[in-house]
Amino acid sequence: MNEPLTNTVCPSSDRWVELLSGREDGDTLARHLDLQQHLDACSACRAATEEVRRYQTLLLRAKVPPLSADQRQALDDRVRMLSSQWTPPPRVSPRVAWGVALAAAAVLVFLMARPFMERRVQREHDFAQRLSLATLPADRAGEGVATGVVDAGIQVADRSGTWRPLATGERLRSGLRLRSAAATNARVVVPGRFEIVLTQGSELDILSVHANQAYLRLRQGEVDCQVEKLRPGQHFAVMSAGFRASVMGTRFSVQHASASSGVAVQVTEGAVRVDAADDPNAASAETTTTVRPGQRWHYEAGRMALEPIPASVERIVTPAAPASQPTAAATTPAVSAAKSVKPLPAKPEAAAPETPKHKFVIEVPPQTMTPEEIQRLEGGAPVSH
Amino acid sequence: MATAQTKEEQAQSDAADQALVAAYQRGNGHALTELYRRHGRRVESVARNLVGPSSELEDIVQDVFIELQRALYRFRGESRFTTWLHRVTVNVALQYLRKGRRKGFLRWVGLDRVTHNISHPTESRIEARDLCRQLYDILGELPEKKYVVFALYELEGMTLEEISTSLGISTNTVKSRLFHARRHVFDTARQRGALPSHALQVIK
Repeated sequence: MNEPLTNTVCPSSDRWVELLSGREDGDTLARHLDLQQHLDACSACRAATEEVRRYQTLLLRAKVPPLSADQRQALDDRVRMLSSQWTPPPRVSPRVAWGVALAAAAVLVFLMARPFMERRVQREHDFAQRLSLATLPADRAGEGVATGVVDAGIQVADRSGTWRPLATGERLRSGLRLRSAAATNARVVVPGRFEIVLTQGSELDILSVHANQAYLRLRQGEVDCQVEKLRPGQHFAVMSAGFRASVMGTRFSVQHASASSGVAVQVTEGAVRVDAADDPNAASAETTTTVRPGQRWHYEAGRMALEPIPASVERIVTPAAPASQPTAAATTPAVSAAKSVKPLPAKPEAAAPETPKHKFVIEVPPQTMTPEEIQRLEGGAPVSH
Repeated sequence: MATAQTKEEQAQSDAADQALVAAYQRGNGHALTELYRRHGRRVESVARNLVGPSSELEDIVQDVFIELQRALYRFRGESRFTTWLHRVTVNVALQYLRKGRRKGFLRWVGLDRVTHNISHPTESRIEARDLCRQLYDILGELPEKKYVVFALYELEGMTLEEISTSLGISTNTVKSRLFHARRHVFDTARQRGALPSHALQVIK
């Protein structure tokens, strides 16, 4: 804006505004002389200055006048009144302070709870995986056990879900599902390990089977189990509806009675430990129960009870049949017969003798527990197969 | 020499302002009255030129000092008190301006006062009133940022540097906004015939 004026270069109208208002920096007098000299020589700029002066007149005359004396006096009084009401404001607004404190507490709680939440989510995820056939652990090389005797009624399905007859000598491995054909009780024998009999319509998942352990899950129906003597470190367990019946001795029977409600375990010989199998919600000392001979453990509608075996129930437990014999005769609809097995080695807690002594029955009615109930019991997502 | 004196006076004035602010922060409420006595006219002028004809001018000035009362204890003296005061005034005036735009016709209630205080003949009063209305009509079409720069420079008479400091923007930005605002006002006023024909004679 401070270039010298010449007779050949005309200033812009903006510069004329600055020049005519006298607000441009520099030597005002010299610029004024320049301005007059240029205006004398340039008719276009003379016309421009007229416009600019009109513009400046507009601004000058359109300005709002200051307050009158009365208005000013009133304003003075109002501000003076303000001054007499001085109160030191708080450094931080209580509302802001509370907000910050609550936010900090929420962040702290979240950070503290996060590991537990992640662990719980992981456990539930693992549990859900185990419950789902599609996500059962894949068979690894060397896993599984070979069958010795397989009745014709036994069918097997792998992850694809295609059912086919289980052949004698075929290996049982993780991820397989067994069932008995309609109207048939069928038996699977793993020599030297165990023998299971599925009643009609029963389905059984093989969660894990190898040299030292056999974990089965009864999905529906009824399974009779006969287990050979377990060596130290060996395990055999049948899970159903979130509970697990683990072999503490050598002889037991698992039954799935369709007529009753809830889950029931009754022991006629030896001892059986019942606990919540892999249930992240139910796994606690309170849910672990050792059922002694003559006792019946019962779970129904969220309540567990340990009671003497009622005569009506005891009646259905029949004497064990020989291990090598078919079990069709030993089981009837809603009734399971205990199987005789070889004795377990003595355990301090179970004090199992050398003779067969463990018999128990688990009853899980398939139709009385909805997926939602199972979900609530297991604390995970609904199980759908 | 004159410039040096002005700077010296300015430094003394700033020191006095700082002392008053410190006194207020210590609990002396009368310091606010003194600050008002020293800067009230300037606040009123800035607000008046920003808002234009308005019946709420006194309210605006009072609100500026209410805001001051609320915020003075946080003032740390990192900038000049007057700069900070200008900024507060501009913000309060803009709030009123936004509210006034929503109110619409109420904006022109204050026009009566425009002519009330002028000791001109009736014809001049009417003309001044019309001019004022026309000017603020034109200014109302400007974006807020350009409007503020234009009002502070052309009407309030602040320098580019003062506007730059008060608004926290660069001098070049102020120049740019002023250029566009002035161009709009100039052209629009000419199109609408708002430039008084006899003004040239008056000025000359």
